[in-house]
Amino acid sequence: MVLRSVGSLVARRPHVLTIAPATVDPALRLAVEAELGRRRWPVADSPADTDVVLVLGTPGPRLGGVVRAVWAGVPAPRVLTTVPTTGVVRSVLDDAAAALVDPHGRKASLLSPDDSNDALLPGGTGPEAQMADLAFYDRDGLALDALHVALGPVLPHWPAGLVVHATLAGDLITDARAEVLDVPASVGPGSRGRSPLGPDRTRLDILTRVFGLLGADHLAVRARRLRDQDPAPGDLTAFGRRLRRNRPLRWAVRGVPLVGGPVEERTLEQRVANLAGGLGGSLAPPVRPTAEKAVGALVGLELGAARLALAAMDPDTTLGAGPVAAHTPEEVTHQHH
Amino acid sequence: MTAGERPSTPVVETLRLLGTQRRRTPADDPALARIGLVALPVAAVLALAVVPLGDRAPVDLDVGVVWFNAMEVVAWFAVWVFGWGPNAATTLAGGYRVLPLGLAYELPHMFAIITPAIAAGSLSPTAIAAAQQDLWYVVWMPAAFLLYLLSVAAMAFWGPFAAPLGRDLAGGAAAEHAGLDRLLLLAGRWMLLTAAAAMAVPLFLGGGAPPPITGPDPFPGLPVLWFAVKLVVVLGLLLALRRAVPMLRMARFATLSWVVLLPLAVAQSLVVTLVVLA
Repeated sequence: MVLRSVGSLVARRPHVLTIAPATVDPALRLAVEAELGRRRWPVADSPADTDVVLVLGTPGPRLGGVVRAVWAGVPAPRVLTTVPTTGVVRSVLDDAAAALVDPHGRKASLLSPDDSNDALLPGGTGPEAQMADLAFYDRDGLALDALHVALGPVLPHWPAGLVVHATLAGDLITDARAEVLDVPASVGPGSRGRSPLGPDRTRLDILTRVFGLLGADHLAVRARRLRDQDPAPGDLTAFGRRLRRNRPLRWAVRGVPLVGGPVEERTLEQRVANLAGGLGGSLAPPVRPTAEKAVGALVGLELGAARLALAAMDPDTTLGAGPVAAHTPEEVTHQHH
Repeated sequence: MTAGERPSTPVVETLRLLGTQRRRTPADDPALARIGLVALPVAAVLALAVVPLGDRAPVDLDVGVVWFNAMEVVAWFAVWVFGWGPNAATTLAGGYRVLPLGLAYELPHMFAIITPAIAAGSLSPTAIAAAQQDLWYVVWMPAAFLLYLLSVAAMAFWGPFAAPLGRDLAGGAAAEHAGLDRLLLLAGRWMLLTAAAAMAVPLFLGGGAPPPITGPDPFPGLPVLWFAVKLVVVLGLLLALRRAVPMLRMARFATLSWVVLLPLAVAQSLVVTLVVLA
């Protein structure tokens, strides 16, 4: 009885990990984010911190494999569920909270009632080291190990469906190639500048992610609320002005170049300033580059800077990228240094 | 962990983590990770042990300031080791971030805590608190107090200095820890922050003594009460810092630290030394 009441207390604040395919309907993703924000359910940073795994839309075969790997790394008590359409968001989240309290009264919308109690679970989703060899390009001349890691597709504030096959020397990205799961690169012209959300909501969507990564939670919440509601133009320009006056924020995003011309801006600082400055105005929507161009601009950046740069460029993953062959170690011997 | 919106949130989160399964990753080193996870709250308790809670410390050490400083290095070790343990790139990169973080904040921090010690002529926190009967050190060494606040936020890898547990690394050094392991980690971090905030009271705010301007003590014989009030104020300042400044990348913080904070810390201790000698 005590356990049950503790469970219901915790189910009022479950940590939610959202997994979306690249082709997800933006309206569905926004509806889920708005509903999670309304309920004040925190967004999980990693599978280890997750209670509820939400799969949006219809994942393809590759992303389906990722979902299985993520699920294996989520500690019990846990719930895996899908949100097929915008109309069922609320009922799905209600069912998920109920299932956390009472794992046996599962509803039909919940997948895989498999609660194996394995102590040794298959590894995390995020970047997983495969093998270390020596870096061929080395910033500091320290002959660091080069790690071949796949970043994504399940990371906080990460473009939907994107996997970055990166080579790391320490925390420096020395090589990076983009792959969008289940969406191969398209041959036709890109959709540069076009976004189904419209200019201001696109800007606010990008800013929400950048602020989320920066840990500026109150700014991220404000940007998300403006994005999800129907704000007056005055509110938008006021928010933009407040952002441009925020000196700690400007200072925190300084010093990150965007090399290779994926967007018009040459630095992260300029990109964020333009996103904030364009709010409520009549400027064209921000350019969203292809995944290949955006990921190409990450080479030479430190991991944290690369994450901010990628979130600010917000590549349009519906255009596809890849496929990229995963790094295969030449010999399977573990090297411990 | 996201910012708690309600007063009940820490309780709910604690119960949640107590009821969650622990987990392991392939080819991990669980013993190493657990040494780090246990070391963090232990370091926080040992640091708090030399802080006078009111008019006397649980362990009244002559070199309390040095002991306090030594315990924060134990915290570096803890983060580095529980980041190393799970054998995953995110936790490893997060754990390694304590090294640039420590290199950036440690020197300004040491100048900031040694400045009150110079003024009081003692390394004992109790003696330093007692030396402020006429004038709190925060009044005539404000730069050292501000540097102390900044550096203890960095010491607890918290707020603007949360890069070792950064969301950009999916939780960094904490990314693969669940259940009780995660609870030890997050509770240890809060304990470290509280211990560091508590040390600010004897170093800069006159310990358990009432403010000198109020005349006779309205609560005589209750130094713990004054200590608690001042501790809450310091914690409030740290919360305001987190809200005002977003998370800094290590390269940005290193620039700030070596170009602005360190010269400021040296100048402050120089001024205090000259006043004491004069």
